Amino acid sequence: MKKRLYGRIVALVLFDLLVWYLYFVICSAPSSSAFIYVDF
Amino acid sequence: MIELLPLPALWGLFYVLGRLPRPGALTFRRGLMVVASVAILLGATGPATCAFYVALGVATTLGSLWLARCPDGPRRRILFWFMVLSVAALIVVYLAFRIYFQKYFVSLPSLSYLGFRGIALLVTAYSRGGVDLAGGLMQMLFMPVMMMGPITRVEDFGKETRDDLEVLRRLAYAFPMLIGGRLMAAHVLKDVHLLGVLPVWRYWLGALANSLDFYLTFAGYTHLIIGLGLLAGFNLPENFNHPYLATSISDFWRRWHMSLSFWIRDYLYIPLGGNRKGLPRKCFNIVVAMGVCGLWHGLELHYLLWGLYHGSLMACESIMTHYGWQPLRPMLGRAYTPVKTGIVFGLVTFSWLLFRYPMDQLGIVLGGLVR
Repeated sequence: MKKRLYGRIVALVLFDLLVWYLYFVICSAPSSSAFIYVDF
Repeated sequence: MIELLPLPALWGLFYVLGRLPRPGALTFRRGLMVVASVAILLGATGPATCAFYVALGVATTLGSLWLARCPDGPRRRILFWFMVLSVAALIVVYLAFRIYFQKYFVSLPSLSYLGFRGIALLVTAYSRGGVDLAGGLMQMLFMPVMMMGPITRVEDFGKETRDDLEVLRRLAYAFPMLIGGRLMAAHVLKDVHLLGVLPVWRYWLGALANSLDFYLTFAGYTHLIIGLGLLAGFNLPENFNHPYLATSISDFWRRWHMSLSFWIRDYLYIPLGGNRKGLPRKCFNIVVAMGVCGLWHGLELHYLLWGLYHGSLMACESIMTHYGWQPLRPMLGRAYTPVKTGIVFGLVTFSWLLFRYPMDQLGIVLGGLVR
């Protein structure tokens, strides 16, 4: 049970690091999002 | 300041601060986070903007403390209304003169969000008391929620929470959504008055991309904000619950930017009379509340149209529910719910065009869709 939990945590950490890295690769340019244009 | 939210340095800082030894437990944690928030604000926006924002936050907090301690009576009531109307006036002035505010106070985080949090704090202090200095300052100055909500209530900072697995889960949702939002943003039509004539499909693609961009970017950032809140030790309110799976516009508003719609419900719709004064008054209250919700995004006609559009749709739904009128149900059988979800998605996607484009561009986009 504990093993599965640790496995899940490690998988989540690795996935997070991957998507975090990808975010900076793909979205490094200043935002062109329609949402960001809207300043509430 | 929004661009700070994904930075690893910010997450590292919150991780360390959330784990520092706690001499005074909750008060220590809240004090620490207020100091960190002000320091980040100072670094990101400079002394003038930071001083202006902090002064507003501290003044509202002190006002709420005064209100909580003031004995019941007409003086207290006058004080309460004076403070609430002052905060509301600040929001209106900010929305009307936003360009000038942002010229003098560079990167100023949204004052209208500050105002919403301020009114929530004042109402809590007036109705229930129990507001303390650290809680009030957290409500007004906690950095992650400064830019785009969720609109917190002072109770959200009333106890500490720790859930590291949930933080990891939030990160796992946030970044793919933000990446998706950015990819969608590439297809959104911008400055349409300069683009010339485009094929019809391009307008439809632009409308769809606009709708998905709004959701993915907003909800993606919200996951980051809630994750940062958890790292700091606080459970911030949820803001999205699969809004594009809603089966009615009212359902949509229970799933989209929930902290805003609940704020509108608690502090505007219910004080107006809510649904307690008959169907016509209920419909009127819904349209007025949503019209104000629209104008809160900016004092411009297209925002008002957006709010009135949602209000009118919700009023129509209320009338249909009241009379038990469901014309599509017998025809569609099992397909009823998926079809309703599709219709609501279409109506909402259309509404984002009203939201996104100023009037001069809106006409071009709407014309392009049906040309």
